[in-house]
Amino acid sequence: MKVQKMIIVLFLSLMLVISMSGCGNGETEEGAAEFDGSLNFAGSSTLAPTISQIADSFQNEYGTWDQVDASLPEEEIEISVSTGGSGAGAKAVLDGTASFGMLAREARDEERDALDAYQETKVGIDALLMAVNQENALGASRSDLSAEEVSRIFSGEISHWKEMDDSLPEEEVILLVRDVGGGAHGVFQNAIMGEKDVSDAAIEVPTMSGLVDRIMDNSQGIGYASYGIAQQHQDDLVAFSLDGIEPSESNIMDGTYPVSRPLVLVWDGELSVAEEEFLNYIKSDVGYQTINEMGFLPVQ
Amino acid sequence: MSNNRLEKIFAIAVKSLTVMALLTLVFIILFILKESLVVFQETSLVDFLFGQEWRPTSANMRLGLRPIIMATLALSGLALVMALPVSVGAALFLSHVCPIRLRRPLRSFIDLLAGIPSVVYGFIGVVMLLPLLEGIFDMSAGDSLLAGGIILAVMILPFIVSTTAESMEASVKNHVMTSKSMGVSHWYMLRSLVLPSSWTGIIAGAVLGTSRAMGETMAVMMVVGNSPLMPTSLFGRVKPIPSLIALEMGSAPLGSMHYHAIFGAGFVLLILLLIINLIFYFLRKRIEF
Repeated sequence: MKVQKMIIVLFLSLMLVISMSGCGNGETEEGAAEFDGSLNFAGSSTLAPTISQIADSFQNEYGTWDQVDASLPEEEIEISVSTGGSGAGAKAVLDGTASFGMLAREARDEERDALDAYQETKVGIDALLMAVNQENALGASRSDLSAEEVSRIFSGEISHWKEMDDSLPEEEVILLVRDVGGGAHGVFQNAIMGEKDVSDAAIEVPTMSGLVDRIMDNSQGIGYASYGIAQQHQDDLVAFSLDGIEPSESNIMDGTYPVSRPLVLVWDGELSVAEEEFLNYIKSDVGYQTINEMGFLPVQ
Repeated sequence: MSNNRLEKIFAIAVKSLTVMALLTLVFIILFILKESLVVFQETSLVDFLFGQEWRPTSANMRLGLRPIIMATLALSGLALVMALPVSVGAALFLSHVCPIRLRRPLRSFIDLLAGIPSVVYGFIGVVMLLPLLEGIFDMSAGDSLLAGGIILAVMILPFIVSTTAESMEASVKNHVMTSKSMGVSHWYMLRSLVLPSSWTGIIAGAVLGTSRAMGETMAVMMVVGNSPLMPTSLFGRVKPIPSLIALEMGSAPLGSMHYHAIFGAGFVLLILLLIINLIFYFLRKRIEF
């Protein structure tokens, strides 16, 4: 009797699960057949605020899709932007949960291969500047660092400022980095560190703005700051040139300054009309201006 | 007749919902286990648990969780050591010393601590606690095991206080009359009767607190520095399992060894919680008899 009851209960719950998943399928199939007025972006937290802002002005300018293009139905423009890192962006496109993935690095080969028809467009460049606090002694005495010196500092070979130069204080060097697996760090790793590992003692900060805040708070800290954020805090930070190369706009754009990363949108297959329209908007003057305002260098 | 039928349907509905809840748990555990098993193609279980270094993205990849696991244990242990005496004292005060009129408002205040979002704790930690520690201990950066322990101690305090206070209030009835008629002082009663008899409550609170401390992510991640070092000193930087997962999950490419290793770390955290709950469970049984 007991066993029988249990079987019934199990059976019922199984039915429930099946019926629920059935519902889900039905809905998406219906949606795909019609016009889909909502776009989803997922991925890098570096690029997300920029895309949100462009999406905002796009929505304010047009409101409904028929205003964008007369052939489209009168449906509200919905653009959602979610973050979770470059890796998550590529993953979302692969899973079909997002129409565009936002990557703050070049797509990896396995990510390109995983998609049926990989497509990408570069929207901007973000550079990482080696930066210290205004009160930092190194910042006061030097304006240029060699890549070799930076890699020795970040690998922990130079763990106290004094080991670099006798005139510097005896304090510990506080290394500030983004999460070691992330896009920003990957750029730094490739351009400066190569095969060398970053010291275990480095402080990993979850966001770029958090990292810059920490550099501004700590006079013994050294870290890499996004070009845009460093520009905004010019008065509080000292940024170094690398091997004599100034991190200026022209040097970053032509690739002379080595520590930079592309901001890329990736998608799978053909774009719908709505998607294409918004992509064009990102690549229009309004889009470029926003990208610039957010501290990146737009790619024409 | 129809009443009877309704009751049956209700009973079946309740049971099937319970089974679904259980299935969800089983599904989560199985999923994490399945995703983490891949790691062992690369490293052995012993290397994964006791390896010295965590370098998931290095050219020469090493996946050793020892510093991470030790950091998790050290952080929650430290938080418990700091929070337990304070909570037991507060619970004793709330349940026996404090005037009844004040009892309710005071307890709601402490409970309110539990309602503060953890990111707010983290924020307070970054802007107030870290500079404070830097000033007091002359550290170059305040991010440390100690900072994480302090934040966690405050966060688990309300859980321990409310569980302990409840069990102490329950024991009042047994002791107040006898103590009064025997003529012993109030404080003697608290020390020799109430405190020993509320062990189970204290342990239950400690379990709750430890479990919460081990899983806490945001607040801890903001103040411990997230450097995968062994917790050798209070002022050292550490990276506990939840911080590791939160920091690295977003950037680990799907299906990579790093991705599976993060799932492995999550599974280890689950097992750790299970072990700690079991230890406390047996401890409690011991005391009860």
